[in-house]
Formats: sequence, structure tokens, C-alpha cells
Amino acid sequence: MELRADFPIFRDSTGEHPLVYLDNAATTQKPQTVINRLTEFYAHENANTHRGLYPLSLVATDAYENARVVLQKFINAPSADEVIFTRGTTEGINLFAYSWGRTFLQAGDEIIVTEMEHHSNIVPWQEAVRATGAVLKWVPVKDGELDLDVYDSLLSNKTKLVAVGLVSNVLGTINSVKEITARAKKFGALVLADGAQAAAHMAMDVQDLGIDSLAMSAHKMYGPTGIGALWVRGELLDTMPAFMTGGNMIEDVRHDGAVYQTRAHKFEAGTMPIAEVIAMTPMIEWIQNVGFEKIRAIEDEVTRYAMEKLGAIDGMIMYGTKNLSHRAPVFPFCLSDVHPHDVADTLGSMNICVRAGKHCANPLHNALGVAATTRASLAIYNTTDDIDRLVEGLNEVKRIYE
Amino acid sequence: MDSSRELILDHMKHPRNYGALADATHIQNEVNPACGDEMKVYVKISGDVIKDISYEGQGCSFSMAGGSLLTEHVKGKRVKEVSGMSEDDMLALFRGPVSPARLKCALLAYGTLRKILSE
Repeated sequence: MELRADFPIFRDSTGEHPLVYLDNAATTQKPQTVINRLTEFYAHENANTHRGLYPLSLVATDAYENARVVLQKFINAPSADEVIFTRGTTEGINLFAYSWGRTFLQAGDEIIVTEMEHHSNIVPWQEAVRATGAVLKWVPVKDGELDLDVYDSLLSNKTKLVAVGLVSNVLGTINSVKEITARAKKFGALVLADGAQAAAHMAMDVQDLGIDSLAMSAHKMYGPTGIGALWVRGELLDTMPAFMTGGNMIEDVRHDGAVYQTRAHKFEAGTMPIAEVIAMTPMIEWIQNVGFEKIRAIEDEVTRYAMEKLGAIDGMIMYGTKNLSHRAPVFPFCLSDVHPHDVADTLGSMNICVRAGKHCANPLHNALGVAATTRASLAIYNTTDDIDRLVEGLNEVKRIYE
Repeated sequence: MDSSRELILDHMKHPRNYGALADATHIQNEVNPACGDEMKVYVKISGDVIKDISYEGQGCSFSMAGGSLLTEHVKGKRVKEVSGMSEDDMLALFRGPVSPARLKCALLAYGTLRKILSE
């Protein structure tokens, strides 16, 4: 596949057991253009951004701010100054939970989360309600999808925020966030969407979804680690106090106080990961060059193949919805009584990379009634050959452990 | 398959000293929340000797084989001697390298027994 050739990690992996990388929900591999951009910046363009009056700094600032515009367009945000660079989804949600949560939540207010959220979209809200006396409500999972009847029954005028993932990192469920948001809006609640697992697989249009905030991580969409973004609707962002304070986010500091910058810049304290921000531009260009239509078509084909081949293995228990139109390419499973750690360890010895455990989703595993699962998660470069290797590996696991 | 792997599989599939101990003087539960592994160790201490020991639990090959290897190793030994057992001594029972990802599993039974002996 020609797309695969853009990723040097596969080009360099040859021999008896070439790399089969099926842990893309944890992090994706990086195309050469993204890697090159990081190197080019450090080799030829390195300077701190903002307020440098010399050309090198101006060039770096331009590239940094250009990435903000590229990202704005990618998620169809109304304005680039609503796009805050963060360390990733976790930091983005924490930023919102600290800044908005501790300012506006009051005792008795309610936040709705779902049982299929990643811990990063649960624990910041647990902390926020602990600090304010607000209450956390949970939407349960039924047959791999959110139970929207229960969701309806949870919504009320007390609901101040709904925090929901666009795609589950364990089940791969594509949640109907547009519908969830429309229902929340009837009660005047805000909606924050966790886009970490969606970004590499489907278009995210914040205006079409109607949401108020979106968090994402570059490293799960073919970009660098340590960088991501939080989009917050402008008028809402204007009401939120600074999260971290210090250099860069300042307009003026006096003995008796300080004046902060506005919008996104108010939330970017200290020197940011400049190279990583700048490398998000070729990351998004790479995704857009392929296009989400093609991405979805390729991933759908491999998904269908995987569901069929994995489902045919004796002793295989697969979790998640069977409705493939609601499903991103993530497959959690249990194989007979073999512990997921043993499954992943054995596959690892064959250079097949999958993850085993609870995948930072303990409440979901409790709801599923399993201690742990093995998870294979795909990206655009995975092929049906990778699935064949996985099936071979799982047969080897059965041979050893059964 | 290497000999360490064979040893682990043997102890996982044919665990020694598995099950409850009716006349246990000490019982301790432990869980590894990261992977959900559960371990329960029963010990019968008489004087300064571990007269009998058993374990029950559920988990991966390393945690379950660890219970089997440990109970086999310490049964009949003096409490003082077993108390002096280090983590490395426990890992040595696996007769091969234990990768960092499996350390917690491999040490689950050992940690459970230590809780009893440190009382």
C-alpha cells in the first residue's frame, strides 16, 4: 500500500517478523513529513516564539501561529484564537475542568459523563465536583453503545455540562455526539467532546456538532507526542480564568497584579513545544491529502475483514457494537480463559503490537464484567495482511495456553 | 520455547498448593488494580516454621505461576529464612528474565506473603 510507505517505521522493519502495529488507539506512527518537520525546525529554524524581534524568531512565530489556523480549519472552528495548544487531550480536559469547572460549578449542579469514557474524561470531573459540591451522573453502556434513554432521564436544568467521547478508546463506538449535544442544549448544558480517538478516523466539525469544547492529541493522529489542542467556543473562553500563569500569557505585570493576554494566548503559559506545534501542520496536511472519505473506506474494509476473521476463532469473545457504521477500527476481545497479558506478551514475541489491560477505562471494564481485555486498534496503514498475522498469532496463543 | 517459559506454563497449568487451607493461621488478600489480578495466600505457621501454605486467585501466567513457585519454595522453611527473601530471590524462581511489564504480576504472591510475615 502506497500510504504505508510514508511511514519509515514500517520501511525499516524487515526480517522474520516484520512489525505488525495494532496499538494505534495508544499512539499512531508518524509519516516522514512530520518527522522531517521536527528535524528541520531544530536544525534550521529554532528560536523562541513571540516578541522576538529578529528574523529567526519571527519565522518561528509565523509557523507556530499558522499551525493554529491549520487546526482551526481542520475542526471548522469559527476563529483561530479559540484553539489553545495543550500537551494533549488530558491537559485540555483538565484545563477546562479547572478553569471553567471551579469558576462556574456550584453545589448541586450536575455533570454527565459516560461509562465508556477514558479516565482522562472522568477523573478531571471527579476532581471538579469534589472541589465544588457538584454531582457526577453516568450514562451506561448497552450492547456497546450509550444508552440514550438513560441519558434523557439524567438531563435536567441542573445539568451544567456533558462530557463525552466522540469515539470510545476501548469499544471503538462512534457516539452520536451531535444528537447528544442537541438534547443537552434543551437544558442549556455545555458539551465537551473528547476527540482523541476520533481525530485520525473521521472529520470533526465543531460547528456542525454544536459542541462547546473539543479536546484532541496530535500523537493519536500521526503527529508528535506532547502536543494537542483544546478548542473552546469564543464567548465561553472569554469567561474562563487562566489555568496556568507565567511567561508568554502576560500582557503586563506590575507589583500589584498582572494583565493577561486574551483567548488562546491566555492559556499558553511558558515556552510551548514549538517544534511539535509546527509539525502539526504537515500532520494535518497528510491526513487531508488522503482525505477522510478514503480513510474511512480503507479502514472499513479492514474492519470488516478483522471482525470476520477474529470472530471465527474458537473461544473468541468480542466486545462492542456489531453495527459497523457506529464503529471505529478498535477491537477489544478476550480469548478463552487466556489472560490478556499473556495474549499480548505472546503476540509481542512475534512483533505483533496490541495492548492488554483496562486501557484507562476501569469503569467500562467493570460494566462489561471483565477484569481486562486485549485490544487491537487500527490506523490507515493497517492491511488485511496485518489481520492475518494477528490471527496466526492468536492461534499460537491458543496452542501455548489451552 | 525456552525453559523458563515452559516452567511458567507448567506451574500455571498444574499449580502446586492451589486452593484454600482449612487450618490456616494467616490469610491475606491482594489485588493488582492495574490488571485485576487477584491473589489470596493461606499460611499455617507453627512455632517458627511455615508448616503449610497455599494460594488461590486469578490472573495471568506470571501471577498464577508465581503463587505456585513461591508456595513450593517456602513450604517447610523457617519464617525467619523466608522473611529474608528479596524480590530478586523471588524472581530467580522463574529461572529466566522477567520483563519490566510483568514484574508486578511475578511479585504478586510474594508481596502477599510478605504482608503476612511482616505482621
